[in-house]
Amino acid sequence: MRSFLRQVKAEMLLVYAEVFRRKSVLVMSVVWPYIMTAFMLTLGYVAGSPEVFVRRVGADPVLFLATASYILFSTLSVVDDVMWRPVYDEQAGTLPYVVSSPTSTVLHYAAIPVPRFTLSLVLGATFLLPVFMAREGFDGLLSGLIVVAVSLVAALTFIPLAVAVGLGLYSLGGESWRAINVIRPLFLVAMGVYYPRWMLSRVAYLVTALLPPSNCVEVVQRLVVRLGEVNEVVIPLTLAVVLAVVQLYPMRRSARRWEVAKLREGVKV
Amino acid sequence: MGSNYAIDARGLVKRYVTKKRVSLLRSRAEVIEALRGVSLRVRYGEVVGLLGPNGAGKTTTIKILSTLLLPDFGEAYVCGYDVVKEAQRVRRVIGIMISVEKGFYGKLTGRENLIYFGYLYGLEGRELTDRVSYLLDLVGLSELGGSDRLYEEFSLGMKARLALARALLKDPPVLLLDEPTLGLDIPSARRIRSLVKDLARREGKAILYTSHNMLEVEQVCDRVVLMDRGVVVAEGTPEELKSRIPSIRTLELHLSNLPNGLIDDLRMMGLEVREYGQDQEGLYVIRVLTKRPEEVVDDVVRVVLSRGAEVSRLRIEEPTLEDVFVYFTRGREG
Repeated sequence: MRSFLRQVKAEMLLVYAEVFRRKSVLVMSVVWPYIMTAFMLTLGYVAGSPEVFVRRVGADPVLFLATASYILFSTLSVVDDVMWRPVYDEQAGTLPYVVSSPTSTVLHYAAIPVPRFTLSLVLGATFLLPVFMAREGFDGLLSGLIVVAVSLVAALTFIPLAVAVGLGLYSLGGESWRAINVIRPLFLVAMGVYYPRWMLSRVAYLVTALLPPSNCVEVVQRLVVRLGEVNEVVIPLTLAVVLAVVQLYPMRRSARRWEVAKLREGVKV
Repeated sequence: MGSNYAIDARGLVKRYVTKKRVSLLRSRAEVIEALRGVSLRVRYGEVVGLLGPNGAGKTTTIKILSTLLLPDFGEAYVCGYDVVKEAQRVRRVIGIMISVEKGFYGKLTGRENLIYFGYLYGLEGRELTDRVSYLLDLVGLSELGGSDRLYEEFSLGMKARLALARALLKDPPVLLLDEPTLGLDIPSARRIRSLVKDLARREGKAILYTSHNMLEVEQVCDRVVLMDRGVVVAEGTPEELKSRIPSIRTLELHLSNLPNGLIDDLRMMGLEVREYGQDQEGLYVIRVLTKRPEEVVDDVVRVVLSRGAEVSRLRIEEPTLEDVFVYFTRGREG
């Protein structure tokens, strides 16, 4: 645990320097939630009717889409960071020093996404909480805070699967931006942030339930729709945590396979 | 624990398989033998220079010892730990410096970069910050203002100093330095050379050092391992290696003029003579290559004087490490 926290500290130093010392990244980090939500709302209002949305889904479209965007960008940053990092380290020439450090590869890659999703959650909350308060008053603030907390669980429980898939893919085909561009939309669809999960077919529901964050997405969606009993919140959250624990094993295996593949061809200098 | 040496490599073999495209749809596997049974040893407190033309296998050897590459055959031990089976332990006892011009994060300062890698190397808290400050002073980055400047603003010399500081973060007993002074300005290169020597002499560190600069290797290294095409072709102290190359001592003459027929006359005496044009003072330089220059010097001077030339300077040059390098590698370029 101490070793993991040391890694998180290292990553915070690096990621926050990258964000706060690169103005374009900082501006995008702040503006991105607004752009994303505005885009989804515009698309929704152009393509369909809010009344129909309320009738079919049972939720305020503004809250539903704002929440969906929030959970999406904070959670997907996990897979982005895990898959982007080996490519970046290879370009910066830092990979040999990372690989030859005594820190375990698993711990290192598990720590990598933490600073950015934490930042995304905080920056996103600056827009999400006012939206909730505007629509639901003071009660909305509480709902918004619950969404932030559940999104944190979603991001944390997504780490093992993201590392397993990301490094597993790299160990087969090498590091490339193309792999990120394929994996990202697949996760986006499977997480189901833009459609009510309970309206999926049974097969699609079960398959996507294997992604820990999709269970958290369901909790948030039920919260927004005011649908469900306590157990309908607790069960998906528990399932997300259990899945994340189970996925620790493939995460370790993928990290080991990736490292061996790198060492076999030689870490590029 | 497999060896008492700081570094002990035995029969390392590494082949790279690359695909070469032969037509639009077909490609052919091509095997490159980077190492063909390399063995070398480094003791504690010793600086060993690894020399060879490009493609000789120096970097491949360093990579294997740094646990960055798996060998196909052979074994290697660092501080007694197997680089394949006990890679994690090896990583605790080595400091590496592989490329000078990159290897850090541009948006972090020199100090922050060292702190970042310190965390990776298992350091933290006061121990880490004190160590970082000490190393920044040691490599001279504090006085150059590099501690709190972003890495992306560093000069090459500052980058090299920071890379050496990182290699020393864990205070490791073994250092693997791959061309640490490549492209550096004179003060930075001198600082690094003097630090490397001190680290071996005073702290007893074992250092494997690759370079293309023969003079530097001669100054810094206690022993030299010469590699060519994936094998070790010679090994020993610089003096031992020089004594093993025949007939390359040189009698160098600086002449006021170069009369026609002088070179031919000297060659008629059975000597190997080379012209080197004029030096900075406008004197003509010729070199006579012979096993025993002291035995021919009188005859050479007599012939020069008889041709009407004046000898302004004369000296007998001992072979250099560069001559050794050229002799053992047949002057092959990478």
